[in-house]
Amino acid sequence: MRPTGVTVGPRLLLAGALLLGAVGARAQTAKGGKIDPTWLRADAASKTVDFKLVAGLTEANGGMNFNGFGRGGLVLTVPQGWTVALHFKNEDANLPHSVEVIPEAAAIPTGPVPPAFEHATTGRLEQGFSTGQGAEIRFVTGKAGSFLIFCAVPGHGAAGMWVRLAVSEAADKPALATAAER
Amino acid sequence: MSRHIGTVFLIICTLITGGARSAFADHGGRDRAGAREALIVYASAYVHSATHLTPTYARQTGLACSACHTHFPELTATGRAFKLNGYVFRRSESLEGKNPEGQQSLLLNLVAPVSLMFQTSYTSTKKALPGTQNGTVLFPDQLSLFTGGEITPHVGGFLQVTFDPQSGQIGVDNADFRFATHGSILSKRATFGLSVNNNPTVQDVWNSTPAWGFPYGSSAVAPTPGAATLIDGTLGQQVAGLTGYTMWNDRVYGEFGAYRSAPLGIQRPLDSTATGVIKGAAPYWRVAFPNVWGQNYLSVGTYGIAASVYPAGVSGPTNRFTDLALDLAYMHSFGSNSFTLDGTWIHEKQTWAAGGAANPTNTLRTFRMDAMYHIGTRYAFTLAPFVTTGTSDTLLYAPAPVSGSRTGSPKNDGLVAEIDVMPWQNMRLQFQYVAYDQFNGSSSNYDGFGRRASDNNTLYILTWLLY
Repeated sequence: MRPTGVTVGPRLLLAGALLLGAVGARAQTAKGGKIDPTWLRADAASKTVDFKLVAGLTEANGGMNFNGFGRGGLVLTVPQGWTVALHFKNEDANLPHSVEVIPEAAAIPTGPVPPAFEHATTGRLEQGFSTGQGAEIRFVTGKAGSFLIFCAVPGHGAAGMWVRLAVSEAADKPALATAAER
Repeated sequence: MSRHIGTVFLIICTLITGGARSAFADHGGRDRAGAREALIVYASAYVHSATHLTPTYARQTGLACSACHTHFPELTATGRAFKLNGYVFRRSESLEGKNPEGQQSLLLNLVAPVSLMFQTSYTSTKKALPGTQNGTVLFPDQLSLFTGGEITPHVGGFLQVTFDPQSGQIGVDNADFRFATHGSILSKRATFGLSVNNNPTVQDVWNSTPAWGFPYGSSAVAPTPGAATLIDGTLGQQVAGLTGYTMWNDRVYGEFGAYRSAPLGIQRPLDSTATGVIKGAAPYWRVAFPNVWGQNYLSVGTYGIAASVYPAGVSGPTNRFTDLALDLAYMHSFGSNSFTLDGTWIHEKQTWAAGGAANPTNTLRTFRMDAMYHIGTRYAFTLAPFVTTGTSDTLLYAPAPVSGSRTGSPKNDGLVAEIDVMPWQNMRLQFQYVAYDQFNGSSSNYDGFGRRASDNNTLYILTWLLY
């Protein structure tokens, strides 16, 4: 479920900030679970890829998803040596979330671990960012391999809140694709 | 790093307790029974330490206990958000019903929202209580049934029903049912909610306020200090309250409501046979300012209640209790380990217009803090100093064996040290030692019958199972 965006002006704020309950209910506006091409923007000249990463975009997995995907169901492929700019925003109405890029692991960590690349983290990993908040991550894919874009708030990643980052020596441009969930 | 934090905390403890004091106090929910007597508020069959999580929520959310708790019932960011949003977050399957127009009219969790808590314990005081056998085994120490979780997409709850092995009775323990929704104020996200509950601060999302504060498990048979403020558990399960709350932009939390007497186990409507009935309703307020930076989380706030209480019956003069409190909740993460610090200071002004005390007015002040270092989800080490001071009153705190005061002073201070081992997230072995420096006003012969404060030092070993 998503908020309908009830807006209270400054005058009403004084009178009503603590008089609750009369605020409109949220409407359900599931946003689907397929790839939106606008999420990805690449600049070959600067070897930079911008990726819009939204936590809780849909109600999949109770909102514990990135762009509607979880358990590795989405794969961002980036050529090695490119700069990745993740534009993270939390739209989950219920829970805080954070992001870090970590090495591929057989067992998904239950909380923060050292990131795979320098600066590949939003910070506030345990506390997360609440609804409407976000952060920008910018890091260089210095090594090839398989990585996870993972919510580091305790328990979230282990509950399936992760997608994949593939850093490829062979790829010549970034790409986004779906994959089988793990 | 842990050594550094330990050093800092020892300095804080030294400042608070006066350095060489080895005193201690247990401020669990059970000791509040003594406070109720002192305040002549009311009696109850069902008062327990009010601090438990429920696997019901783990089943509903599909998240491990450690997602919502550092060390149950202490809440993480996810746990606070879950509670603030009405206990409705769910990943388990549900049964959905729709009306002829296609609108959703039912959403029932297919997982039965029930879980059980079983505690068994061993208590030993430094010196046995007069005429009793020392080394008490309670089996069970406490047995609770939990239910709650999502009821509708905007309404959820928490209900604890507890069997007390000493009274042999079963009764409603903590209860919090709430409605929550979202909107925006000044273009920033806000959560709006209503809570109906039976214990002031049980609805709070921080562990710095009384209902969910440390210690999370304490002995039901060891002596505990006689004085406690009204908001410090004295009203638990004796009132029903409605509060409205707003969390704005995760930066400002405000809550206001009122509590009215709703004691359990006595005749209704309340009449001349009742004791400790609140006149009208008692206003309750809460403001907190949480903030996050780096791996730190800090919330500072204030809360309080003001109540006029009939000492007996439901008419006539009343005694007035006004509680004003400050609180602090801090957490720092070290990867999989963490350090948490929770503390509160409560100031109570008592006006005894209806009698019951030797003085027309008294004050009572309580300060406590707990510093806990968590090693993963398996171990936790805690130090928790505790100090209560206030006006001496020879009627409120009269001499009596063990529970009384020779000096008429409510003063007590001490330290709780605790080691917790959790081989599984839903199983805890708790080793707690409570040491008192002063107890009901003094260190030696505090009760007028020759008992020393340190005679009440308590070893409490608790096994805690949740499933």
